[in-house]
Amino acid sequence: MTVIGGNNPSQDDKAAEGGYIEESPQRIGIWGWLGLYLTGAVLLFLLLAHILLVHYGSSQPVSFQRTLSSLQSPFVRFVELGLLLIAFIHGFTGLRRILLDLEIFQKRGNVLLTTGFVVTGLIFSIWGVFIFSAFLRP
Amino acid sequence: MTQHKRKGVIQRFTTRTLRGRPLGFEAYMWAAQRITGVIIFGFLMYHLYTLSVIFESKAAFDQVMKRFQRPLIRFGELLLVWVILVHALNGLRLILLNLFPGLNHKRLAYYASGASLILSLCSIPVFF
Repeated sequence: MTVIGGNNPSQDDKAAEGGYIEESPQRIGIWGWLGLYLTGAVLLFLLLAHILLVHYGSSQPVSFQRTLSSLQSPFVRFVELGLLLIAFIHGFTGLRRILLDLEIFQKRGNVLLTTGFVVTGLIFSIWGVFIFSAFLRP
Repeated sequence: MTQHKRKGVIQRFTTRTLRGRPLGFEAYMWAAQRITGVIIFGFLMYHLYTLSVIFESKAAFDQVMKRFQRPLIRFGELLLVWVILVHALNGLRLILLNLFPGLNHKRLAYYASGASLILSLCSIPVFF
């Protein structure tokens, strides 16, 4: 159970008897592990900060002007941009892991899948940062 | 020679469930983690799309915000809170299990799902 992104057949036995299935049977690698668990831990805090800042950051009612002015704060920008990028890393690593759990990919398929997700993740991150920068205009 | 093809963990979970053979609670949490993860990923895309619309102009912002006052969408937001809490607390459980292997993982699974249900019930007054 402590194997990080490892290949542990005992997990499969436990799954078969209806118990604990968590570790990925196929090797997700140290980056796959970090991309899920470390970013997941960071996201817990960032999401909490995001919700508190958006809904309780100001005493005024929600408005266009209030949202734009709240985004002038460097801390808010840091939280929102960090949330965006780390959520994308977490999301794409998770989708990759779901597909790897299907165990239909050979070695080359694994590499292609990872490359595809990195490229797609980069494209979506650029889209997200573009949206983010669009509402930073004065 | 016939090479026996080993089935993946998702296929094994699905066939077992479809055949009506019960799995343990944690196996269902394992499935829930994947399902909620995909739902949250879809929400993230929708959320970014909404942001790209509402920051076009003040009129668009007000129009979208008015739409979000509908009770059905409010209910959907409440469901989303539950989905995110299930994913977050179950994920926290997995992080703890990876860091401290000696923990009682079965009990922790019940705590995580129970806490997500209770916390989302506590958030009802925020939406209605």
